Amino acid sequence: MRSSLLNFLFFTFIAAVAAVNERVLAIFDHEHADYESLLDSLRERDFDVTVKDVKAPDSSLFEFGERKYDDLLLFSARNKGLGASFSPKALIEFVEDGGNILLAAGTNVPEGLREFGRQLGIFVAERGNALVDHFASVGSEDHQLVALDEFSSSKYIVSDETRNAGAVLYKGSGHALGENPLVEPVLRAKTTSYLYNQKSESESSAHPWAAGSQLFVVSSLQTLNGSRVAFSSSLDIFKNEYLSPSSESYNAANALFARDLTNWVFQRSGRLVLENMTYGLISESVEERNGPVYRIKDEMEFTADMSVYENGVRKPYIASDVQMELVMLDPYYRLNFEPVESDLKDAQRYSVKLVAPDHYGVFSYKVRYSRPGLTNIDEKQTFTLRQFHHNEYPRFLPHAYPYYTSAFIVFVGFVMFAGAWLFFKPAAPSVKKQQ
Amino acid sequence: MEKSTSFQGALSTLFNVYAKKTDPFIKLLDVFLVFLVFIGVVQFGYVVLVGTYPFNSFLSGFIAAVGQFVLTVSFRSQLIESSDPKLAKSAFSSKRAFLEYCISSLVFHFFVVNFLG
Repeated sequence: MRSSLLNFLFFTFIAAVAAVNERVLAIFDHEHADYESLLDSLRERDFDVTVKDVKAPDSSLFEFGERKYDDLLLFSARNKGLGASFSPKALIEFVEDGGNILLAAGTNVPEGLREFGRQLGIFVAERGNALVDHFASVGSEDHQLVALDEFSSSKYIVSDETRNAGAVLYKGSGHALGENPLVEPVLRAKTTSYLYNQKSESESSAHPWAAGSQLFVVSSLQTLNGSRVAFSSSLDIFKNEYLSPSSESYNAANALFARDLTNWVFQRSGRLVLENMTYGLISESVEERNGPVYRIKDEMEFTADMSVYENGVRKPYIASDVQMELVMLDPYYRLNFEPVESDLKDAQRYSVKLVAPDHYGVFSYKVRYSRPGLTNIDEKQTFTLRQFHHNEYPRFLPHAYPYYTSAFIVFVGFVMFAGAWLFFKPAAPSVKKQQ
Repeated sequence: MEKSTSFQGALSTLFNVYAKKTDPFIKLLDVFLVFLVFIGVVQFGYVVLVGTYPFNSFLSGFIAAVGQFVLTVSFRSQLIESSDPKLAKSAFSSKRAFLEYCISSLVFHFFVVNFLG
């Protein structure tokens, strides 16, 4: 009885730690054979993909309050609702719990996804809108298939390889972006594109939902706790037609773009890790650092190790703009880190040396780093700076010698006087009586 | 005794009486007092010139002179009082006065050295 319980606990523990960010739930509300290429590329990259229909009774993100999956891939081609398991509220809960979502919906968008997009600051166009470009379209008669190559500038979302592979073939809708500073556009339309509403022609030419350089087709959001959401306004860019090498309209840029986007959203790329924040005296050994109390005007060294994941491989993160702060209500120091040599293979050590401020109190050593495409770093450690101890002040100052000598002379004079009293004191009363 | 109402006359009377009537030991004590005053004035002049940077050292040296002056003056007055036959027998003898003087001076110097920095 006891051993079977232990076995059970052991195996659940193993299952919990075996896969980090590996469990993908792929939800479709339409025929999903067209996406086999994409799902296969996910499986090749060691993701554990579960494919379900949105209306299936056992498809849900949470079970007993715990996330069942790390990543969600939700492709929708119908206008119908997505059900309670994938309502905007459930999706938001999933993201807040640390899950990542890749959403895609073309001209037919369920209202739930539009609502979820609104929460993020991504204003998805209404149903029936399609992106049309009369100048940059490729091949099709209705000018809806366009070649787009204006990617995000972050090389963690779109790698250089993808950038050099040419334009992505795109067919779908679009969205406008609000002012959310956490939103980063990944692919935007050309200046000659606009959204055309197939239902109300006259209205769309006067007031398109979005047009030109304000029209975005793939956008991303990274929350402050590191989870990522990407919204694509097209289903076609992920279809086998463009992704599968055996298809005749295979486009390498589409395949690479899909690979990079899924890598980024599912935390295989651009995940920045800050470890091993240490602070201490330069004269201390590394094991003794991170003490609770240091003294004002101590010579201290602050270090941190940073590494970044690119395509699942952990590499040292090398940049010249990482800063550290030493803060007590106001930053007393805000300095750029310098990279230093160390024997770490997959992280870069940064360090800075400074003199502790001349103010006593509880200070925080903070590293805050936000760059598009990289995880937000916001770490802090606190320690106390104390005043000089009674015997740590500068002593034996040369220009204080007069005081030292005078104190000594007074003492010597006192000793001599007491000696004189003891040995030479006359008998006082008899002298007085003679007067 | 000369009677004189002028300031000069009073001063000269003071000096004469002092020279004749005071115990030689008290005169030695008075020399010590003058020496302490001299040391204190020298230190004060130094701090006026140089500034108060190690203020604790200045205070310590200055108060060494001043405090020893105060202690010696009180010892002196106790000595005068205990050796004066006109007064009633004072509460303690000159030996005890000396003992108190020594103990208080030693404690005082302990604090001076501690504060000297």
